[in-house]
Formats: sequence, C-alpha cells, structure tokens
Amino acid sequence: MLSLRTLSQTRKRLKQKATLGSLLVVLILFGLFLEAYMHNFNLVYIVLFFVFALAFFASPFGIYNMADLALAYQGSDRLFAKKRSAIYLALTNSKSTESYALKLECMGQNLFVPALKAQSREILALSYRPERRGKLEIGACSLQSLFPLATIRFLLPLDLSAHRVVYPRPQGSSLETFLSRQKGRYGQENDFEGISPYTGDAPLGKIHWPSVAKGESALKKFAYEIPLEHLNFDFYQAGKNDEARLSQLTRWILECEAQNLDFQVQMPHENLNSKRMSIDEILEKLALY
Amino acid sequence: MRYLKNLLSTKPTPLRTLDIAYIVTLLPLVLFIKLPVLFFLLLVLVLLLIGKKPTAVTLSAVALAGTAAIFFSLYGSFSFAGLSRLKLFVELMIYLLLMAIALQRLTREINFYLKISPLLLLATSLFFFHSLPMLVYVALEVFVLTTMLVWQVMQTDLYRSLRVSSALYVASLPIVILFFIFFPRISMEHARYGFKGDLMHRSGHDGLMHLDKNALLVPSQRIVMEVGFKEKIPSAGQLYFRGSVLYDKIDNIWRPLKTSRDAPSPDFSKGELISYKVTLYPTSKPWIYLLERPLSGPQKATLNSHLESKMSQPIKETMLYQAESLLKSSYKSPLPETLRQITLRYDAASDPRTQSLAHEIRIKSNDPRQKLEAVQSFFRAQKLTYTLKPKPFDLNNSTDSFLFEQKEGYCVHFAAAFTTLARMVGIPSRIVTGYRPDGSNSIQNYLIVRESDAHAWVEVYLDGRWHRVESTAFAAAIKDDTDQGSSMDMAAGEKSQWQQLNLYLHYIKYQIDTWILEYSSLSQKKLFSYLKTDTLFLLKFISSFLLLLALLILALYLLSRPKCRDRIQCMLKPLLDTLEKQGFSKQQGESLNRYFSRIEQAEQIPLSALNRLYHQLRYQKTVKQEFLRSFEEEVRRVKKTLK
Repeated sequence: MLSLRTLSQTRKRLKQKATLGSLLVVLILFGLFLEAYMHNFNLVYIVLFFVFALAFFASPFGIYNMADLALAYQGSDRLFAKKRSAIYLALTNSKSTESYALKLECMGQNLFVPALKAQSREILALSYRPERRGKLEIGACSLQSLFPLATIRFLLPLDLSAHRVVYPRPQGSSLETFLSRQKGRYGQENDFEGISPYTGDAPLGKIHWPSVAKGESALKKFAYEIPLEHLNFDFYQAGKNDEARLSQLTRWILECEAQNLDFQVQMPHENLNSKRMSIDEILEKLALY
Repeated sequence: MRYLKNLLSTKPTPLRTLDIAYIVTLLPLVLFIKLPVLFFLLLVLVLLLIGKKPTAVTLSAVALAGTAAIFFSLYGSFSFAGLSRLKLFVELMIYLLLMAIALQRLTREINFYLKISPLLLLATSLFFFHSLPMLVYVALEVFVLTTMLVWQVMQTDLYRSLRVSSALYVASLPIVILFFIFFPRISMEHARYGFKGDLMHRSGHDGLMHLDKNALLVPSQRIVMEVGFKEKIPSAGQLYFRGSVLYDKIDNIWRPLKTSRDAPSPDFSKGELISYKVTLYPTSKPWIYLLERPLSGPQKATLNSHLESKMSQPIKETMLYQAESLLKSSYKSPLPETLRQITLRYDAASDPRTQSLAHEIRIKSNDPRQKLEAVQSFFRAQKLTYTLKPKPFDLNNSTDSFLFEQKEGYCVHFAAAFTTLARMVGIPSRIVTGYRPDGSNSIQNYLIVRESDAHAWVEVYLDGRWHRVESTAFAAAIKDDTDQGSSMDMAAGEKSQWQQLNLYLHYIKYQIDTWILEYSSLSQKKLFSYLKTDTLFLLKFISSFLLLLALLILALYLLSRPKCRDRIQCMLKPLLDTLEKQGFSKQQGESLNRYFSRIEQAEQIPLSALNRLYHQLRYQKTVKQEFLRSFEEEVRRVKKTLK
C-alpha cells in the first residue's frame, strides 16, 4: 500500500521532469474543457476529469514505483580499453510491491528492466566499452522511469562510488610469435621432438612403441613439453610507443596466463614477476603506467 | 481459458496497443458514420490483413477511395455555409481524421498523430452520443486507453498492466466524482446530435378521444414520462396528469377547442403544493402533462384557461422540465357564456334513450347538485363493466349503446357517456384526457408513467368551480382482460419479481440521467442548496463519499498487493511475516533450511517438522494434497506456538 512517508521520502530523492506526454495532457485537458464547457456535455466532463485525475495520480504512482530501490556495484569482468566487457550491478527492490519500467542509465549505457519483483534483487550486466586504460570511476548512474503514463520522467540519481582499473587493450603479436623469435624454433608445439627414458607412470599413448619393439623402454617427447627458459618481456622491445608496448605486454600476459606460464615483465623502473604478483596486479601496473 | 492466459501474458507492441485503442474508440462511431466511409474502413482493414507494406500507388488509391467515400457520405448535406453547423463540421472532421489514420496506419509507421488519434476519436464521438450506454462505454474506453498506455510504458505482460491501470483508475475515481459534482458549470442547453434511435418514443396519446374502432390507444408499456417528486409521491387518487381538454364531439371523436391564449384565472383556494421534475419522452404532440391543478410548467410552454399546457411545436426530443401543482380535485374558474354553451352542447339527433333519461332527471330536480347525484346514481345502477375489450357499439347512438345495451367499456366510453348525460341534464361538463398512473410503477419519489396509463375523466362545472369526476369509478365490475395493458383503474396487484427488477433498473437509469447525463448548473445549485440547508442530506452525502472512498482504498490495496504465484510459498508467508515481526529475520542469502534450523536451535521453536514438509513438497515430483494439508496445519500450529 502507498505510504505517505515512503512517498515523501522518495519524492525528495527523485528528480521529476516533464515529458512531451505532459504537454499533450495539457492540450487534451484544454480541448476537452472547451468541448465540455461550450456544450455542457457531461460525458466530456467525465473524460476530462478522468484525464486530469489519471495524470494527477501518475505522480504518486511513479514516485512509489521508484521507492526503496537501491543499486550496488557487484564487480565486473576484466575491463580492457576498447573492448566490450560486463559490469555487474545489483538492483534491489526492498518494498512489498513490484517496480516497473525501470531504465538504468550508467556510464552512457542504458538497460531496461520491465519489472522488478517485490523484495528481490536482480543482477544486471551492463555492457561497457572503456575508451582508454587507467582508473575508471563507476559513479554517476541513474534509474529512470516513465511509469505509469509517460507523462513524467522520474529520475533517481545513484552514486555507486566504485572504482575499477581498465587494463590496456590486448593487441599485438601472439606469444607464440614472441617465443619463436626468442628461440629460433620452427614448427608446431605438438611436433615430435625425440624420445625420453620411460618413467613408469606415463600413459600408454606416450609410449614410443618402435623403441619398445627394439627392447628399449622410451617415451615420445613433444615440443610443448620442452621446458622453456623463463619468459622475459622487455617493455622497450615490446612496441614502438608506450601504448603499443602496453597493449603488446597485456596480450602476452593474458596468453601466459592461459597457458599457465611464468613470466617477467621488465618495466622501466620495476620488474613485474608473475611468481610474486598476481596477473591482475601486473595488469593494473600496466594500466596505470 | 488457455486463450485468456495467453492473452494476459502477451507483451505489447506499439502497433498492437494502437490497434486495440482504435477498435475501442471506433466502435461507437461505427453506429454513426455513413456507409461509404464504412466501406472505406473495410477496405483499409482488408489491406491491413493482407499484411504487405503498401506502395505509393496503393496509398494514393486508398487516399482517392477515402476522398470518394467522404464525398458520397456528405453528398447532399454538404455546403461551405453548412460547415457553420457543428454537426456537419464534426462529421467532416471525423471522416478526415479516419482517412488520415487509415493512410498512416497502412504505412506501419507510428507517428505522433497516430498516437493521439484514439483520443481524438473518443472526443469527437462524444459530440454525438449522450446516453446511459455511452456513459458506461466511455468509462470503459478511458480504462482501455489507460491500460494500453500503461502496457506500452511497462513493456511487460498484459496482466500486470491491467492491475496497474485498474489501480490508477480506482485511485482516480474519487477525484472524478468530486470534480464532476463541484466543478462550476455554466447554464447552457445540451446540444444534441447524431444517433438517437433509442430515444424515439411515440406516445399513444394524441390529444383526441375516439369512440370508434380507434378508441383504444395502444395500451403499450412504453414509458411516456418519468417523474421525480421533490417529496413523496401523492396517493394514486391524486395522480391525474392533465393533457388535452375536450369539448366537441364530431364524428364520434371528442376534440379540444381551438387553442386558447387566455391565462388561467387565479385560484386562491387551499391545496397541497407539490414540486416535481418530469422527463417527457418524444410524443410528436405538443401536450405537456402536468398534475392537476397545474401552477407552473416548462418555460417555453403555455398554460391556458382550460389548464392545458402546450408547446408551440410537437415534442420531438426528450424534454426535461420542473413543474408545480396544487393537488386538488376542483378549482375555481369563470365560465364565459360562449364556453357554457359549448359545455352544454350535445347531438339532439342521437342517443334518444339517454335524452329521455336526462329529461326525467331534469323534471325531478332543478338543483345541479341533485342532478349530478342522479346521473351518478344512474351510472351505478346500470352495473356497468370496465373492460378494455368491449363489444362493438352502435356509433350513431354511442351513449345509448354503452349505457343501455353493451354496458361495458373503458375510460373513454365512461367519460363520453357521463359528459353527454351531464350535458343533457344541464350540467356544463367536459372531458379531460391525460395519464393516470396507479402508483404501482414507483420507487420512493420516482414514478414511471406508461402509455397504458392513458386516461380520460370528466369535469363538471358547479358553483363556479370545475369538479373532477372519475367516471370509471362507477363501474360495478372489472373484466380481467388487462393482461396487455392498462394498470389504470385496476387494483394494484402484486408485482412480479421481473417487473420489480425492471422498475429498479428504470429508477437507476432515471437517477443516472438526472444526476449524471443531465447534470447542469441548475442541478448543481439545487445540490448545493440541499447541502447548505439539509444537515441530514449533508451527512448522508459525506458518509456516502467516505464509504465509497473506503471501498476504493480497499480495491486499491487489493490491486497493489503482490500476487502470490507459488502456492507453497504463499502458505508459508504468514508464518515468515510473524517470525520477521518477532525479530527473527531471514538473512541475505540464507536458505530456508538453515534459517529454520538456526531459529529452532536458538529459540526452541519447533520448526523441524515444518522444514521437512516444506522440502518434501518443494522437491517431490507431484504435490500430494494430504501433504499440502499437513503443511498448512503445521504452519498454523507453529504460528499458534509463536503467539
């Protein structure tokens, strides 16, 4: 049920803006008034008063619709410059009635929520494409609604006060290219690279049967199994300018992470080692460079 | 049921909502718009159903067809000078609007004009319709249009939109009612146009009185007028609504005199003053029916010295008027010699037996009162029978035939015979026609007068006064042949339930007509004066409004209450609310199992059985009724423990 206290509290938090619909209502009221007054048509009077009353009640209904709504930052995917990622926001409706026709406007992005159940929370994934690396403030968001009659735009400003770091755009040559440049190695990673002595716990697929036929126990060895020397990425050699270098390094780091390889990034003033720092810490260092 | 379910879960599209709005607002106009435009709309509908996006050629052809349809619809009635007539102007506007809508709708592109056009259609339709069904329809139209708008804004299923629009509608009602009552009105006459088929009534009363085969005026149950009395309804014996006054009998037809412009002479004798409001349906005759003795009637009507009230033109539209009368059966009036001659005139060449009877009476006494008594005694002695289906009369000697041969007839025959005999004995007399309802068609201060209430009675002039004589009162018997018709002169029998219901419906309609459709500055002033002067009325008014408000708030509460869709959860909800009230809140993300276990351990509230039942019900494949019952009982038991 509508509570006057809730209404008044929510009203203070809300901004209300007239829409084209409000202007239309005024015109309709004027037209109907003329028709009703000039001809004393009671049916027109009824329609006139209905239009007025409906427009009048659109305000409390709209305000109550926005009552007890809260938005909280719930984290995000890794954010990379010029790459679309998701920011997760939790929209909570703690009143006992549903909220309708909510439009979340955050960081230039819009998300429409047709209905939010009473006393429920919905996780919204806001698709976002940061333009540049560095610190990102997820602050000024707003919930808007035209509910119920589109005559007033209700605007609830929400301050999330969350910060995220946008990592450099992963771009440049692949890690494999880097490796092949480093070792002068050719061919594919699953190329046959010789045999090794049988260890006793190797799977059958790895047994080198020709050796077994000769009475030797040996295992097949592939290129990817050859332990690499420690990967060392040098900032200055990664690209022509800072942004290109950071993008290149980001790509290599992400590929190293995917292949579970340890690495080290030689930055101008510090050394970033994957054994000592997490990937996100290293990426953050790059982002804030 | 499945169809309804599907419908309620439908999501809106702009065109779908607009189409529904068009259908709803176009429906009343379909009764009004002319055939060529209807055909044009049909053509557009077919094109829409075909579903192809029209080319420029198709659109041009449709525009051409629309123009032709408008031309043929207004052919003959259109002229530029005629546009000053509002009806024609609005009609043309509607046609142009329909053509514009059709062309835009065919393109399937929604623009601003297309969005507002349903409201324009609604507003224009109100120029033409002004009746109770339209009132109901308008209320529905407003609701549907609101729902469509809400549906479009919400972008959810129709069911939710219906709940919201219903809540909005209910919330709006008190404002609509208050504004309707108190918004200042100006005093203007209603302009009436358009579809009025339902208002065209024809009264069976034509102001004449036939003694031939046309004598029986259609004794139908059609309503001639509805009367709302300020106070309670007078007794049946006083309900004489006076119409034409008949003096001359020519060719077996009793006729009124040529219109007299003399004003009625003032009568200062006492009588009960009564005020009433009449809704007179079209009769195509100029008579205005006022209770005897009329004092004032409608402004445009005249009241002459015969106490006939007439309009200058036949009444072709429903008329509403206030009137005042003094309830009495005789009134003072001079009788000029010329009129005296007329009121004593009879055809000496016919009715010999009646003439001989009159001669006998005249010999016996010279005193008019004694003569009148003798006439009345004779009528009683003849054992006349009242019947609506009398045997055929000898029209050359109709009075003789009625009094001595057939001895049966109805008001017409009684009144004609009584007047003739009275004139023969030398008492000036005349016939008054009108309506005499028996009061059975009444509720509180509301009275329905039907065609079957048509009546004729006699007035005799004695001692400088006209006295009413109810000639049918001398009937010794009443034949039960009135199944079709008159309620007049009949003892009011028990009304059937259907008749009673019908009467109540009429009463409601009358009240709606009076207080809603015909509400005006006059009604407003009247209401305000009641509110100012009548404390009881004021209290009733305020309490009725508060009661309505309470009902609407209840409806609003029910509509805004979240609908419980999960049966098990719904059964559990009261208990969860009670626990919450007692301070045992469920934590964010806590499962029900953990929540119940936590409370049971901490507060020793026995919740394990309930917990087990809940999870059984929740996770078993089919929900067994006995489990549900046990679950419900367990919820109740735990709630009792908590208390």
